[in-house]
Amino acid sequence: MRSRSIERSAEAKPLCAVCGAPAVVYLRFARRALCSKHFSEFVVSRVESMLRRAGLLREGVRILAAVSGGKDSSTMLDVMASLSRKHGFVVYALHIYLGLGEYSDHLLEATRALADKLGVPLIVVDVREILEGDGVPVFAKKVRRPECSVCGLTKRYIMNAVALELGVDAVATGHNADDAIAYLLKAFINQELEQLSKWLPYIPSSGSAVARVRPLYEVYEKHTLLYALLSSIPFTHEECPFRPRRSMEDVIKEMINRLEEQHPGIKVSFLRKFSRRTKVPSEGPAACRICGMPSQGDVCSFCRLTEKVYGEPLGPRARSYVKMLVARKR
Amino acid sequence: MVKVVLLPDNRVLELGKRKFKVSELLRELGMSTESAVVLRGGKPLFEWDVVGGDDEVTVYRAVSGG
Repeated sequence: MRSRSIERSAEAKPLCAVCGAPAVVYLRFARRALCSKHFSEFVVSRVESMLRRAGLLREGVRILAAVSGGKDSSTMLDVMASLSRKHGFVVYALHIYLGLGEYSDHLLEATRALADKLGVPLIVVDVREILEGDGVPVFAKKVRRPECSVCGLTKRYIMNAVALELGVDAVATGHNADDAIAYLLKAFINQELEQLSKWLPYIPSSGSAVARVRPLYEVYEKHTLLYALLSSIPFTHEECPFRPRRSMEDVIKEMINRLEEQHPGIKVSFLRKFSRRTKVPSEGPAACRICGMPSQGDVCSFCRLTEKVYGEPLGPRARSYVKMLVARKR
Repeated sequence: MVKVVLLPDNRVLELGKRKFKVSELLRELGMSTESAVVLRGGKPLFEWDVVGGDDEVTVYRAVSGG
């Protein structure tokens, strides 16, 4: 009988624990090596399990996948497209063009190529059509806020607007296990405890806030990258030119990866315990009195900031533009 | 001469003729084995694989993003 044990020497190559073919990855937490095919199946099964727990693996369910063109969201879309064929749910892809120069062009190009390859309908929202020709960096400069903060706010606004217009059951984002842990620990370190429940894998809809799901919640960042490389899907492995060097999230990720080396499986175990013990906030957000979108106060952040910069709240304009784009897709 | 291409930084390092394990290479680059994917000839390497001689490897830093 052929041995499938792991030989940790330079000469011997491990074999896949499932089929005995040459392995491409060793999953330390599972103590098993896998070939390319069975590694892909492992990633697909983690996503499938997450969507099942969220109650989204049903025929007729419609999910909007937010795709940047980077490794995580591209992997997510590829996996979800294959699962949608198996389970009968419908996936739409949303790409938000943020106006970050060539970087944005490369991301859009990769997203288009992937959506074409998978046959998934793609909606592209260009923020410059909403922000009077400005990209996110110019908007951030005008409003005197960090680019990442304005970018996140704008993306969340647009994702929800498109989801509402399409009438989907949930918005899926490409956050992986490492992202979730990094943001959770950052929120804990900063004692922003009210932020913790935002990092659950599934947050049901509430008022005008469409449900959110994070299908890659239990997939390690290294594995989303490996999946993207092995499956040869189009994606861009470039860094945003506005991303801070050695952000707190980066430092936390490196720390938890060193911990994972010593204690294999600790990342996913932490997330599972967190998910079990944390409740979804009982009170959802209110609605903005200007645009009707989710808001913590009387007026949402997007309307408030755009009014400050452009002299009028641009929420209603964003929603009309999105309505027009969605109507074209129907 | 071992050539190391670092992505997404697009940096190239030349590390001489000595042999070392992938885990040692990553440690030297300040990364854990959980933070990167290392390819040689387009194929993923294991952390215990040895590189040396005229190998050309690509280190994809996983901790990166948009």
